[in-house]
Amino acid sequence: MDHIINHFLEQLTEISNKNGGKIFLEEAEDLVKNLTDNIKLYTSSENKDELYKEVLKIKEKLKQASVDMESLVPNKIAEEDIPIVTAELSEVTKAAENATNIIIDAAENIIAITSKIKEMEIVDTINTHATKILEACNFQDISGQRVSKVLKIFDDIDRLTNNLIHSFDIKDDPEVRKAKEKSLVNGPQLTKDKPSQEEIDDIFNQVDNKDL
Amino acid sequence: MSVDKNMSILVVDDYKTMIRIIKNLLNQLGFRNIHEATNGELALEKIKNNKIDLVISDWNMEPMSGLDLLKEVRKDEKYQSLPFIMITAESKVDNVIAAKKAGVNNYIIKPFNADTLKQKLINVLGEF
Repeated sequence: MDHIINHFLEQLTEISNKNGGKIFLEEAEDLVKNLTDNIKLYTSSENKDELYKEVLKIKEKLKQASVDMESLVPNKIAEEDIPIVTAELSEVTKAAENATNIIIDAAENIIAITSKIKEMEIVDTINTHATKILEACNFQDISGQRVSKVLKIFDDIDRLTNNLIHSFDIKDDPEVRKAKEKSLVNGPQLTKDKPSQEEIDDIFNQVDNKDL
Repeated sequence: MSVDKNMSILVVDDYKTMIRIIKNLLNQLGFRNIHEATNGELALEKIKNNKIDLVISDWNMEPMSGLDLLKEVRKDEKYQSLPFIMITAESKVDNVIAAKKAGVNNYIIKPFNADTLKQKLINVLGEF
């Protein structure tokens, strides 16, 4: 039995050296298949049959892991989904900052107007409310920091996904990928890609009633 | 001794919008001589090249954080007693302790309101 294990380890080392330290999933499956075939030839007792069954289970799990990983479409996640997340979150921060600056402009203008008002009670009331507006604008800084934290986490996920893809040479399940790409529910487009109302009106008007 | 509202205040934050908010709140309290910087390094330059009477700084900035700015400021004998208030989202006990050890005069957590800012200014500068 030792010679079987040693042979397995030698093959493992050979493949790892050939691939620069990596073992691709298909190669791992072949190795385990060879191991199980050799063990099967060697074994004859009930106890050894149990060992053989356990090794077969490992082989099945490896095969299932390969299928599961392909159905997660990790290449699509790395190439499309994560960049989309980064772009969308950046848009959120930018939009919030723009809106906050408009609100602050308005508050500053309101405060400036109070210099033309003689009644101090009214001036105080206006200033109190203008101050509340400024206080509420604090949210934008906090939101920006929270988004930055999320983006850092996505950087880590991106790195892990790429490592997984390269280590196991995972390809996406083409049917799963095609189904995910066909979805009509995409949410708002990024500012740079967003068509104007006029462009939408043109498309709308070009769709012929007979096409409906 | 009453507080001179013409004193020169340096507001440091990498979010320009936050600088606007703090500046407006300071204006509401009567302080109008406000300088700005968007990170610790630029703030340090302003402190060395201008007469600054109070620093109000964020923590999380690149390339120099508010904590590092505070430490640099306190290294110089000239600025040992320069009032320094941290306004930051960093709210863990360790942060507050680190800032206190580095010589901060007061610590405000974001989001904050005008009353809190006023109270901390009074704590640091005296009644106004």
